[in-house]
Amino acid sequence: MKYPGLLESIKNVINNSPARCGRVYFECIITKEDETLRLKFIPTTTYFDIDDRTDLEATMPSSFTFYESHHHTGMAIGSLECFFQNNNIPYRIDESNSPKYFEVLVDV
Amino acid sequence: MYNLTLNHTLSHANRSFDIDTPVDAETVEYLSKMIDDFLDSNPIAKKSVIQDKEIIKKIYYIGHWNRSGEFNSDFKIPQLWAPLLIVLPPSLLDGKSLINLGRFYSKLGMEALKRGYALAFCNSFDCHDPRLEEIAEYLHVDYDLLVKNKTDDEFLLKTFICIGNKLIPDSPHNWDWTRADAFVSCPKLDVNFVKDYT
Repeated sequence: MKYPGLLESIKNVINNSPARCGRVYFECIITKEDETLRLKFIPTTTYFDIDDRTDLEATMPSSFTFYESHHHTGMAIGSLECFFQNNNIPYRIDESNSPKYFEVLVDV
Repeated sequence: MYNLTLNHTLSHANRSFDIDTPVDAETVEYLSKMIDDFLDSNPIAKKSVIQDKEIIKKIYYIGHWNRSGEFNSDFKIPQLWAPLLIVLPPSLLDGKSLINLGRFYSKLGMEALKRGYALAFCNSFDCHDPRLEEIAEYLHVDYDLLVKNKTDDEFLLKTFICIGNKLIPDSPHNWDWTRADAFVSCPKLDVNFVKDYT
């Protein structure tokens, strides 16, 4: 492991990514293949739909939910990219399966 | 071992800015250049960099969507009263473009933090308020088209970035100048959305 403790820090950054009113609009699936961490960011409204704090937004137009879910997913990825850049850790972005999901890859 | 401070700061909206101290010109120019470079290679949004206090005041006054239909309620979004507002209204609404726009928002915000400024993102906005017409051009809104097409639940798709110095140095991020109290924060929903299968 080139970067001891990196995985926990990555999870910390993702868990603390920017979010309006505590909304969760994506899942992050973390796997490891050989020496590469694969962080798959999947936009979803699954958690928005079960968040009872959003009752007042029950009639929020679907266009806004779509916008916000993808924008929040992007902000989480962007925050993680900034973390890697600030700590001089090389990473790659794979957009080939977007918009279904984006992947961030880090050789560890 | 790793520096997480700026990431944590990025995730918390600073609620009170010093409206009378502008963001320095070099920073505004740098952020503006970042936006231009991004939009040159990703033409997915429009650009507004707003420092005019009179325009900011108008945005602040219509920044809260009150579902009761009341305009100009006492409740305001405190962070919109900031010396620099940046908004990049998306011109492409596909998922990939919106994710890439979100990625850029974080990078723009992080640059402001690195330069010592406080930061907040804000999605709130009341497009039902007729005063929107006065500032439509600054937000790249076709007001006549919006009025013609909008439904009761129309909501403009845009996120503001609010940047400036804290109103009270060293105060907590959630100090709210409009209430002289802490802004009630929503903790992130308690679900396991980061799944580690390593």
